[in-house]
Amino acid sequence: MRNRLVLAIVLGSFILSFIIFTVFARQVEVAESVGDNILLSGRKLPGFTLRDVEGRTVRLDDFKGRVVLIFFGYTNCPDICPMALQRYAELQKLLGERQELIFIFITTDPIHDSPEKLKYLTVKYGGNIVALTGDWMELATVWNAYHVRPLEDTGPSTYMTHSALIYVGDRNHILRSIFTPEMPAEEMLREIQGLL
Amino acid sequence: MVLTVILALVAAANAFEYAPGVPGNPPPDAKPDKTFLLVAEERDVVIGDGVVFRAFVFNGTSPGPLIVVKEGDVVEIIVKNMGKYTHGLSIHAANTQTSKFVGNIAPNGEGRLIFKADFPGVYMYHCAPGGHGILTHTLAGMYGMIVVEPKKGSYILERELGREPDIKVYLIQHEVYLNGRDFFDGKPAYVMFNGYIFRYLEKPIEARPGDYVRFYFLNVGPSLTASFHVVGGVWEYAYHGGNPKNVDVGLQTVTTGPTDSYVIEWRVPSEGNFLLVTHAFGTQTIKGAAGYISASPDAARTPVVMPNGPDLPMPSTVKRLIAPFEPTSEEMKIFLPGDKVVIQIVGNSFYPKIARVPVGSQVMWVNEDVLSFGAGEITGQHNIAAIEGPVSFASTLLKNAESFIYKVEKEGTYKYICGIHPYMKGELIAYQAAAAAPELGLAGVSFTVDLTALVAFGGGLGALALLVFVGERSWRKHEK
Repeated sequence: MRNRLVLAIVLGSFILSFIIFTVFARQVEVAESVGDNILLSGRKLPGFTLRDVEGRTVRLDDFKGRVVLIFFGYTNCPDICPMALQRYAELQKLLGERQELIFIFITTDPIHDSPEKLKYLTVKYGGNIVALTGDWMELATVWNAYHVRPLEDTGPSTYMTHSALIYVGDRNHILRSIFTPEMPAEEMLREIQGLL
Repeated sequence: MVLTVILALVAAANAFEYAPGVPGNPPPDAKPDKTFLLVAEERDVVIGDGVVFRAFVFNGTSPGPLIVVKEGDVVEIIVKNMGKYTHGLSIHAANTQTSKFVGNIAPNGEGRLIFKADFPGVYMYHCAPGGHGILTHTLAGMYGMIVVEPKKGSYILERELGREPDIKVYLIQHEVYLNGRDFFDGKPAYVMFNGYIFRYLEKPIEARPGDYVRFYFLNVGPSLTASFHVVGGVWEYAYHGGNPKNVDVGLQTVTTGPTDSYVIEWRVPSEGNFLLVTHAFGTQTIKGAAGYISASPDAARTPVVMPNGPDLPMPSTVKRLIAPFEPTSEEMKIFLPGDKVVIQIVGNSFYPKIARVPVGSQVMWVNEDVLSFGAGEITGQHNIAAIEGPVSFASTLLKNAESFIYKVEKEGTYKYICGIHPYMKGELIAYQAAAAAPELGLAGVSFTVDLTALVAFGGGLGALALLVFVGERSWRKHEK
């Protein structure tokens, strides 16, 4: 009888601790988990359908099998966009004849970035740049997916808020890295090498 | 970094219009009497013994160079941005439009401002890329002094003595903060004169008894109110703002809010040391804002004391690096299992800048910066972009009071930035909670106790034992 009592106490304490643990663990899990609106390495980059400088439809999927770099900006941008585009140019030089990398530039200012202006980017920063534009609503969907704020103000001064990040997708367009335009091109290439 | 910009829809055809008859505007086709060049960039400066400030600067120092013009001069200021980020200029001596000409200057860009210095006095200039950036670039040390000298003989003591001062002391009081949180709260780590902690205690200003000293005192802040006093002295004449018309007589202190100023006339009463202080002891003096005027009959006078910070070589040992927007080893917070992990985005910095969190934590970033319009340096919008570490990720852009939650699932160090202001840096160090449990070691053999696993194991064992127990009882009942 005494043995049974001891056994019952031992069992009871084990069970109690198990219940406490289970409840406690649930509480920890209550907070919201990672949502869909995060750009996260290991996840597929958001797809898009836009137009290139010749007016042709371009989808992200068109570049399947090739590593992609994606940057958002506008041709009048005074500081960060030229810095990012300079990295695009340097990377193209470092890669030489190798064409495995696609350099995507998506405008945040379709009003002023005419196809001619966008075309000029490829003249200035290298022919492998794919400059893309589109209708406002088409672009807005892409901006939203890539965390670019939509137009803030339609007055005389129009502000475009965007994050100056370069997203790196592998051959399957899974996000692998995020670069900043301040990174030296050599460092970028080292990280990209593994994906090529 | 967020970038930004202004798409100018303004028709440039119309010439810029100035209101006629208002002092300060440049006259038509004005030729400058004086031209000054301010070069904006980012630079580490030495502000104390082994103490380095990762600053934004004009002409290499914080504070930047002194600009002196005469009342009525047509002044040209050229601002060149040689830095990595957008900068600009606000200059308080100008009673005319400045933002349009020098307000937002991109890297490698240049701006040019012309104004007429119609108001004599002592003024502040500071970086002004626009909006939120004006505040944070001032936090980063981008400011200096411009003096508009009135016509000769305007100050009383100068007139009475019939001579220029023996010593001119251009003195800037300013604050240095460790991070944006302290900036918000007005809690500087250091308060100092002219760019160095206790600068004139280490190297006093030399004077002789009876010397006529003129102070050009400017409190650039950015946030505290100064109360400037000399121990063993009464300010004979003090001119608010430095304008000869605003005269006060016989003051123990001059009280100056942020970017407020005085010209002070005073004669050294005797030999000995006279301590210059801001008489706010606990919040300012003790943090570095004091210095000596050292008087002796045969002193080699210091005829001019310049307000710019010293241009010193980097110390061989850096005891403290103050980088308001970047992690420093001192600023770490350790979160324990079960703690709510909240990281503020405040004053263009992450707070805490380094957070050690258990794997499995839901880390929440909240944007406390209030100004949410505009873009680039103008805006106080931010995001979180993890660019190095076990996982890369980028959050949405956050306006004021907006937050982002990320569940840390992999151990390691995550280095992240704000995609809009890439100089804003933070670190998240994710550790296995078990590692925090006590380690049991036996002659080279050691293992850690994983509390969670232990509890789960115990619970499982308990359930199994209960099953056996119940099974046995029912079997016995059955047997009976």
